[in-house]
Amino acid sequence: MRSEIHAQSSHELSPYRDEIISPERVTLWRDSFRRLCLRVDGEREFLDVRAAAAFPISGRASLVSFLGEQGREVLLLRDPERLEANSRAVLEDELARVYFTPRITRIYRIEETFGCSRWEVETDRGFTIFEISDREQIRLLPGGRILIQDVDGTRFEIPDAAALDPNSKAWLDSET
Amino acid sequence: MSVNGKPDSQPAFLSRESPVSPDNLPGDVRAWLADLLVPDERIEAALCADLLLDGRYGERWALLTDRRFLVASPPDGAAPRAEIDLPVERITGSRVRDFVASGALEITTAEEAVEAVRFTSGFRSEAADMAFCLEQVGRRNEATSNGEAAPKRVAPPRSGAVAGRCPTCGRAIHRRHGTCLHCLERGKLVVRLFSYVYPYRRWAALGLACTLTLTGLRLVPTYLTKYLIDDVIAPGDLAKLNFVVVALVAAYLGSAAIGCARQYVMQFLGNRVMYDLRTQVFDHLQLLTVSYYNRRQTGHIMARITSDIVRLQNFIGEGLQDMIVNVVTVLLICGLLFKLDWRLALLALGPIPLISVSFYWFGRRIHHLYHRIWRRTSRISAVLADTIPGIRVVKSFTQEPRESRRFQASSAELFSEELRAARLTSVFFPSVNLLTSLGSVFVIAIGGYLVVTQPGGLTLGELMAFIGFMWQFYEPVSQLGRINHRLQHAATSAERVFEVLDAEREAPEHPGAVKLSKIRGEVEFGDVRFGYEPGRYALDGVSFHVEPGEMIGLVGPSGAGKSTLVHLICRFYDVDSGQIRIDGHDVRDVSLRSLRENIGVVLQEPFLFHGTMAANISYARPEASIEEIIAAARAANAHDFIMSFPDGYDTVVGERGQTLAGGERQRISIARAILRDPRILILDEATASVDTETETEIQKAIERLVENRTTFAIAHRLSTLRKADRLVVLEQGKLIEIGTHDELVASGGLYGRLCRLQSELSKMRAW
Repeated sequence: MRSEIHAQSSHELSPYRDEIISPERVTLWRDSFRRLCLRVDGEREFLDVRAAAAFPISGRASLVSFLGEQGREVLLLRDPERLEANSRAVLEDELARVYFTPRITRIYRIEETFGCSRWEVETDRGFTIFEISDREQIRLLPGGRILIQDVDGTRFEIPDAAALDPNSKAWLDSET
Repeated sequence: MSVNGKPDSQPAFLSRESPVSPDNLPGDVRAWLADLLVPDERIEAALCADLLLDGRYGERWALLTDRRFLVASPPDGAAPRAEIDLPVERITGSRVRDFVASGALEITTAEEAVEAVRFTSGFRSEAADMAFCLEQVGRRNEATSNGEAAPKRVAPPRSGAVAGRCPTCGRAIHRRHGTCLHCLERGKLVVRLFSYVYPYRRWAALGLACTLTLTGLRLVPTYLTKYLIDDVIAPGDLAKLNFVVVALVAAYLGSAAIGCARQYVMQFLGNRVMYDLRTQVFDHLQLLTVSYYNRRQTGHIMARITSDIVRLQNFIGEGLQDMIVNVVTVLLICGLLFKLDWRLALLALGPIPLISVSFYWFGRRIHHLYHRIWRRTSRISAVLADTIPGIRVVKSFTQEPRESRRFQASSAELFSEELRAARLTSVFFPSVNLLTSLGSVFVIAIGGYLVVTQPGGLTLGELMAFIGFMWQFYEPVSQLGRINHRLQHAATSAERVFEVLDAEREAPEHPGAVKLSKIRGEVEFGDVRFGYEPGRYALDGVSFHVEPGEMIGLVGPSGAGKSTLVHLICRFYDVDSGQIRIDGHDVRDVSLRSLRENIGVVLQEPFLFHGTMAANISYARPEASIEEIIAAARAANAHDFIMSFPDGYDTVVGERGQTLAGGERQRISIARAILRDPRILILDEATASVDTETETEIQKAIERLVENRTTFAIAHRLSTLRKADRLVVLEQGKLIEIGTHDELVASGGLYGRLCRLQSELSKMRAW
């Protein structure tokens, strides 16, 4: 049985390179060293892979890529929400780490000094303060969605600017 | 923390100083930590992270002591409890996981890995430092369990400044400003700027005198109005009319003459000071370290020499003058108004605070709107920059209507913002006008009443002069509202220019530096460690010895440290620990100039200066004779193609040598190196960017160049290195193999594997 399980050699290309794999064929787990591992069709295993969403911002399609050594893709998975429960929980946990993006629910104050601004906000992950060094770091997307990247590279999201309370909206208007 | 309202007090971790030094933990942390530690337990490293494991914001500490690795959050009333408490002996290592905008530090034991802390990107370098310490503990444990001596402890690579933040106060720095405006000491900057004016203080004094005289002269005609009405027209005195006419002509002539003089003096002063500053900045730029340039974009550095200095020139030549003129005018007119009639003066000055405040308010508001307009304009430019150069693509995929729609959408946004600004300006200026006009109406009404009812009090002429002065008064007042803005701009520019002048110069030579003459070319690396960024060594404990005249091939995957190694030989950077010796001298003990005179470099992307072929070849030795230049070109296989140009050696090579093909440029740069005749030669991917045929040409040239010189050659194509005496194989900053081609192939390591792969590839190519 063991002999049928191949560990991936670093110079071998994945046999799944030309397909988009359906979730029924994939099992995901985290090993005791917290490495993300996956098995396809119950036989082929890939250890220590990295998960990356194909459309992390627009979410146009839910496709998750798994990258192995040297960033080479080992598998592209469709509809990860249809994975069996354990695998799905592992993947959701991983993606929540990879794409850490607090959603701003309320803006208390934006202090503007010399082109930089300091935001005091409430997010779905608690109160925080961040600074942006350039208004260019505020991306306005269709549908009133706003993405903000702070000076350290942390990302924040406002899902719908129009849905904010009037006070927050007024603060936001002065920045966009 | 309440859910709806803003938290009463900020969570402490949002304002903690970072990085945290283990010897100097914040008081509140030390207090609860005391309950967790045993007496005389020593903290060796501390990390304060800002996320809890569930991804919510919260404070969590990771501590490495001489006994344990501890993770704990500040206790909430209850007794502090360590969430992870791991004896050091069990640590095998750690790993920092870098995600898109956050990270996690995991600690590993022989059996498992545990997520210790999570953090947002701002804590990345502190986490890397902690991981570095844990790695060392792991290595120590491994050595002890194998019965080897524990490896020496090494400090983490020095932490550089965090990109985008001020190194002094930690606040965000605007990308365009490039300098922290909070830490800017405006006063000091202006004083420093004046130290450049000081050598020309006579010119400055003359300029100031002209300015003040001019300000006074400009008030004369208004003052003469009073005289004209009261003493000339009312009594009908024609003799005095002549006097007024002559005085007016004199005042205007004087204004013109002094205006000319002032203009020239101030222009001279501004340009002269900037000439000095420009020269000084450029000279200094050449002495700066390579890391200074690594940290900055070329465009930004160039902008400091050009646009920032021009802004300073404007400030010294005009801005400062305007400020002085405005202040003096305001004071003078104030005095005159009060002298004419203090009651009217109070009345006239009434709206001034209102006007100042409204100008201030308007400035902020319009600035904000102009910024929105500017953003939308640049969006339009972005569409243009996409579409116009890509017009062939647009046409071939018949996407013209879509591009038009895209442009129209951006254009419409700009239109609506422009209208907002237009609404504001079209209301504001007429309103201010109305305000000042109403003010003058008041003055006329009350002044007129005074003139008519109280003969012997205010005269008609005085009233007219009064109204004249009033109008001359509003202009400087509105300008003074913008003083802060102008000062700010000048101070920012000054700061940026002075930042260059204050930047650290290249590794200072100590007084006893040895001057190398012709060296033999023996090179020795002794346990060299060097890192560009915190937590990661680009070279980690590299040691090897190179005989004079030996050719060393440097092999390894990208990022292995090959280029770093040759940069250290040139001493573009100083090692963090260990040493590099050339002919037995530590490179830090020899004069930089004499070191680099012995080194020749051929880079992957050769840089040619604007000038002739001959000038480019002789760049390394401007005094070289024509014969030497031609000999070098011949040796570099460059002579033939140079002669094929109609202008021969006089052919001008474009700004970046764009008129030459890659292989040709490369051969010019080889000729340059040959002419320099260095004892140590560095070939950094010299043949990577040319086709196979050209490579052969260049290869021949290189073979001639390499003879009798100590050579370090970096190449991905191993065939390039077939002449190398020995090969040094690097991986992740460590030297993993060293030896001749045959030895390394026989040992079957990384080099052997690479060789096999590449020979398979070349077979395919042959087929």
